[in-house]
Amino acid sequence: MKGKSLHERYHRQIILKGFGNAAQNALLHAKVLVIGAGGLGCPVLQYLTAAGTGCIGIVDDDVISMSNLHRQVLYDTNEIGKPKVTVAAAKLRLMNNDTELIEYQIRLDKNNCLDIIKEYDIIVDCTDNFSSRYMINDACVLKGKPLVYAAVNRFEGQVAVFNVLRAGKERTGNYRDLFPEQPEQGEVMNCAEAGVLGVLPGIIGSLQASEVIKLITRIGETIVNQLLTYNAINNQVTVFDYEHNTQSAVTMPRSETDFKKMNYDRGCIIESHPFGIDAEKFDEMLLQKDVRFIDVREFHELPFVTEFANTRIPLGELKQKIDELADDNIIFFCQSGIRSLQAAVMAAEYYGNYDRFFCLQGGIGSWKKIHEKQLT
Amino acid sequence: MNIMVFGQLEDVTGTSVVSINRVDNTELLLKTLYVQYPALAQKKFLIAVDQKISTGKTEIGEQAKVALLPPFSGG
Repeated sequence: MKGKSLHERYHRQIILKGFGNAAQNALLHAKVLVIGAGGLGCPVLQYLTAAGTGCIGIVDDDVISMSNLHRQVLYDTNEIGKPKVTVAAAKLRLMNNDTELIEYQIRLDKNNCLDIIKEYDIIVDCTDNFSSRYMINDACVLKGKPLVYAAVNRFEGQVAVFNVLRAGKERTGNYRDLFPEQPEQGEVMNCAEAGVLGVLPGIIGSLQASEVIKLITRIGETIVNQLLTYNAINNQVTVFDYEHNTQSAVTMPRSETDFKKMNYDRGCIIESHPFGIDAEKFDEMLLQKDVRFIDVREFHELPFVTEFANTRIPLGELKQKIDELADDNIIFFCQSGIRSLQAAVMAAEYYGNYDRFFCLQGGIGSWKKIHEKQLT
Repeated sequence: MNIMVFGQLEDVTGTSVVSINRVDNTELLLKTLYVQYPALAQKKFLIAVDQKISTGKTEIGEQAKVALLPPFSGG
């Protein structure tokens, strides 16, 4: 085919000012990985295939269920129980056989993620949980891949484009510049718990597809260093600017080796490091005399800790006050165990002593939960 | 002053627009919000002042538009 039929299929976008054959050819040579073939994934896959994207990888390990059908418009009632990846790929091949579709009927994890992502030019996050979102973000930063992110909740959506290399500049911001720390499981409800308007992922996924096409064809402006929000209830679209967040460097794995040590199911705490102590060890140390407890959260952060004597030194002020830590064993704690780890690393490096600085794994939040359970 | 509340934070505040006494920086804003809605202290969210995400202490001008944005995970 190609030639005349190619021109005919894509004619209406080729004739656009600033698009032309060059942009269409860029699309035909692009490789895009779509992670998640659900509410967001369906419109992303449909529009990218229709637009003539050369190669699309689809990752999803789920099967179609009845409660998917009000928003996942690639699937039919008689396909319930079938794998989403297989059904989606078959329909997309019928839609446009210019596009090569690669099926990954797997769950992306930290062991397979980097190898799959490195094969593609652009990654699209259409997943439905924070573990995957943080893992994909970190993998894209490590592999230097642009990431088109979106998420939906009830009547609202968020869209952003992360980690784009701009000529003469650093890469644009990533998800951790917005939300450095991964929320704990259950902290934020997902679609199954909170609900979602069926058409909403259609709208938000279409915005994602549009950003992907603009990235590939280099037309227009993409949502970089910005977060776009849409509210279907009042039709409000708001674009927020953000800047690099120093906390992101703290919570982000620095190397592929660190990446593979991350525990994305628990909320990004590196599984084992020499500084971490668990709640049991923490309680033992509460009884010792030569131990000081330092809360590295900001002054306004709750809950206040009244169960044992402690000093509050917010992480940002630790450098100026580091001389106060010249003796004793020091145990840092924070909300979830991430800032306290950085505090322990900072103090240990400053004093060249790796034996007397510790941090409470899981943070004061989970320590309190364990003690509440023991009381009831 | 009015604060726009996004996403599931509305479950805490009960409304998408929260009214509080005027404060002139984001630290005071948080303190005021935590007194009015203690459950907010357990939530992750960003504060935007005039459509710019704030990190650390940020001034809030008299006419500033302030919004609270939580992370979403749905797809």
